[in-house]
Amino acid sequence: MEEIWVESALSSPARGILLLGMDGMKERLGYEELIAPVRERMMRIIWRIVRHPDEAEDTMQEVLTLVWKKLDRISRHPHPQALVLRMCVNASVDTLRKQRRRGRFVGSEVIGRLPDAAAGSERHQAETEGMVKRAIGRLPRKQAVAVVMRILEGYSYKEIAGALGCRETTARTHVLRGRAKLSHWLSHLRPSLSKENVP
Amino acid sequence: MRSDEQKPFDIDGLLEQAFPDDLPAEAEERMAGRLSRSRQEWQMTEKGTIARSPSPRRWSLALARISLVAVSAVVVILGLSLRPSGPPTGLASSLAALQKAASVSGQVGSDRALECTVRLEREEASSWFVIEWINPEETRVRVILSGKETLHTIRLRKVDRSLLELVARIGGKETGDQPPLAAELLPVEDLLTSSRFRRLLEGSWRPAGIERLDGCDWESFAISKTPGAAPSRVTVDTCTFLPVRLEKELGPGGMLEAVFRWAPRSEPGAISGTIPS
Repeated sequence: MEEIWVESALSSPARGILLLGMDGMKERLGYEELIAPVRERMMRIIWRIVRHPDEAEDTMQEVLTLVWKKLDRISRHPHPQALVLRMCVNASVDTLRKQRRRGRFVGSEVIGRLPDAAAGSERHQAETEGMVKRAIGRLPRKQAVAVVMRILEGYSYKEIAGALGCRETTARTHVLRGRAKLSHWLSHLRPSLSKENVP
Repeated sequence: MRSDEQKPFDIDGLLEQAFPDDLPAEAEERMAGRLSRSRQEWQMTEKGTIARSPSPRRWSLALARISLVAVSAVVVILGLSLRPSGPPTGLASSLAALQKAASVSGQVGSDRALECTVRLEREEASSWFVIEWINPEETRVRVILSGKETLHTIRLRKVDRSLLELVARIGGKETGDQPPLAAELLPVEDLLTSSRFRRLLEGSWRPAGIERLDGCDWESFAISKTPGAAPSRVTVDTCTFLPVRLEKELGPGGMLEAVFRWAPRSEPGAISGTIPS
């Protein structure tokens, strides 16, 4: 039986469109339903990781294209918005990795712009940023996503599990392992974390 | 087991320090622009074209299915074409019709003509035959052997004179009451009438290649009459479904090559035939 797309006559645009086919009736989420509620969070999360206006814009475009391509799958997902945010984190971490391959980090750019004399807090901050970004970029993808969603965005393990498509305990393990690796890789920054040592 | 809250040091603080939540207005504006454009495109697609453009995933599935069907069809066609088969029934028939049409058109003064030039290679000598269908009752054969040319006229009896019937009655028994052929015409006996030509094409056909690719391909077939015997080779114009060339081995060192030509009568050598040196 051929699949036929029809606009839902029963609902608002936010209810999307219906897909009638062999698999039965499936709802295809619309923009208002899927993207609008998480629009601000998408922008924030991309910016927090990428921290470059051009690259943040490109990353957003990549995410939107991917969402459109995979709309059917996303619509069937039990946590579609969490999945979209996961795609934002994924794409942002990919951008970080690209930056790492190009040897270009926002932190290193800032360092490059600073005069030699500026060895104070600004320079230190930029260096720390660069190192943390490199470390995040080195993490396995799921661990990176879990760490960012948990630590930066404050998602519950249940939500992270929903976005990653795994069990809650697995999501917890991803966060734990990611955190442990970051602690190990960034252990040389430990002195700078004690408040008395921060310039 | 250590809880994730028990950290070696404040890695969360470090991350928050490295990734501050400080979206600047410029970046927000640019990303919002992307979102806004995406929203418009999304809504336009939903309203306008979604009915006839399924999602990319469904497109890819549809393409994959079409590719599979196409590949299957090619495999089936290839299998069928490689299978030994009989001669195309239309081939001899169309030649017969053409021969008759040519002869009739010759009678009524048409400007089209069919000729068949035959080269016969033998160990001792080569000879040439130019077969012309003059009219429904008359076929003329010029034989060129060792520089000497002789002309033979074959008259068919009891030929139906109706043009329509001539063309429609394909592969009839034109030679049924024909007097015995001259000895030097025996090598081309099978090419003189459509019924004999039909017999020449009988056997097991196998594709042997494509010679010309310009929309009207010339496709070659090997015709085996009996297993182990040297096959004949016929080349057919796929547009007109007429033979273009026929090659046949005649024992050790011998070969017959017949070239068919449907040419304007005004063209020099169309009827008389051009014999290569």
